Amino acid sequence: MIKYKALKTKCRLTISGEMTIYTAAEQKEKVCEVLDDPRDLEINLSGVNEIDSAGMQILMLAKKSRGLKQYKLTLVEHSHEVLDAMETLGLVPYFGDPVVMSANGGM
Amino acid sequence: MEFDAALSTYVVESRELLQEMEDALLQIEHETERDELLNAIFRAAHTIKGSAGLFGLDDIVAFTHVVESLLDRLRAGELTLTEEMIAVLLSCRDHISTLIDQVEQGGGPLEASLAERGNELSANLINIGSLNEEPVEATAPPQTRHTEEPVERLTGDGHAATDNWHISLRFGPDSLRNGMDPLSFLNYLGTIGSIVSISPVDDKLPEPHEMDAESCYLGFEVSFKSEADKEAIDSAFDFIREDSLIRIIAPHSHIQRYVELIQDLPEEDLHLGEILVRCGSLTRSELDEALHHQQNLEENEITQYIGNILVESEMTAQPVVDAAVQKQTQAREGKVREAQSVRVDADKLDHLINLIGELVIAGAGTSIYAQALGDNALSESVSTLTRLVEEVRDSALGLRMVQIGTTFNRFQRVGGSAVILEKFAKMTLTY
Repeated sequence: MIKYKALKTKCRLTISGEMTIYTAAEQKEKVCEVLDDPRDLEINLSGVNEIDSAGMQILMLAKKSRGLKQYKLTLVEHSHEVLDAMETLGLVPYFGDPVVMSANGGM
Repeated sequence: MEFDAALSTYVVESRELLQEMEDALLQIEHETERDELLNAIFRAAHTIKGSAGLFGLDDIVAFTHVVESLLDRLRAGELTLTEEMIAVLLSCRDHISTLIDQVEQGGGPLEASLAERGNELSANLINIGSLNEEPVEATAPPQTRHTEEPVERLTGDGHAATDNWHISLRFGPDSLRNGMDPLSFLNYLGTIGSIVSISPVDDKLPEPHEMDAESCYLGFEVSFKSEADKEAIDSAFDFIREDSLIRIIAPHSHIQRYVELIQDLPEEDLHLGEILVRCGSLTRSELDEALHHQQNLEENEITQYIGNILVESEMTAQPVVDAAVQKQTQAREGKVREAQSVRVDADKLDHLINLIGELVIAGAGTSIYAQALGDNALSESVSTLTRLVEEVRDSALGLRMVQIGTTFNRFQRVGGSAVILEKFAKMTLTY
């Protein structure tokens, strides 16, 4: 599930549940809509309890597209599952966000 | 190939392999030339472990790894095979078989009793293995990442200094749809060595609106430390070889190999070079040397035209790859030929045999009437018919026969158990 919130200087997405090949198509559409927004983007991942390469690919897409448009993408409150996958795929430096575990262990 | 289909293929293949393993284990006791059988047993365990890794079946990987380690030492001649060892290996085979059954029933966490049985057997294996000491690497293989700095040495002879393998992966667009998640492959690599560093390559990711979320655009450059041989590393990628681009460079390869790699891969050369440096597979000066080398090639190209580049980059590598692929296909075909049997519902078979019974009776009736009529043409045609019906009957009865080889294999297993329990078993056959 994806929640969208527009703040003054940036917009924020909160993604929860699974980010897998089964949900990828739908989630990519949602993320795409936000990518047209000419502001910095923050994605909160504290509620993501399962992620595979398809899900990770959407985050990479967001990062790459933001980079091309000179806007920032910040990933915050990575859940345990997201961090695991990011480490395996060598993506921690790719996103370049400070990595802090969310307080409730990602549930 | 859908994921579920792939998994059920895995289950079926594993069963076959386990059967081969059992046969070989039972046979090996009476053989003097054991090498070939040992290899067969090892291969079975190795393949089961390898494929299990791809599906993320960690329990199977962990357990089979211990079995494989022991087999490897047997193969290397560090240990000698004893009767007791065969018995334990047979029990291990049974345990793997149980684990596979569990996978087929939909997986889920291991029952406590199963896990315990696994630990017990692992301990047993390690015990046997340690007779002439040197600790066997037990269950959890190292998972460390980003920890070891690649050792840099100045060799100066045009070879890369790193001790690590370099693996370039560009996953095919259908990888995700086919259930071949890059994560599983990288996790599996983590079980046969350690990933020193890994850099993602996102060059193929298109514009957001053009992206198909279910296609895979990912690539990775991996610096990998492992004692495994090239074949073992290579076989990790058997499932995706068809539509993905995979290049593996051995430790201390000539810089030329990296130049070829840089040329082979679709990304822009400089960018890719940077990634290789970041991975620790090449040092900065090695990269400069490689790029310089390549520039030279390009200048030559003007005079010697494209042939040179082709020889340098494609022709040297491609035949080797082709040969390997061909060999693999042959091996696979051979296997298909070996096991040409189909499962058929027993009810259907019974029905068929009943029908053929009826056919024989009806045929006999017709043949009598034909004789009574005395029409030559009819008699002739009926006799041909009768002959055919008889042939069908004979082969149909053959269908119902059960191959008893496997049945009797079980009795050999009783013998094996008797050895463990130090008891005698007596077999009586009644008719």
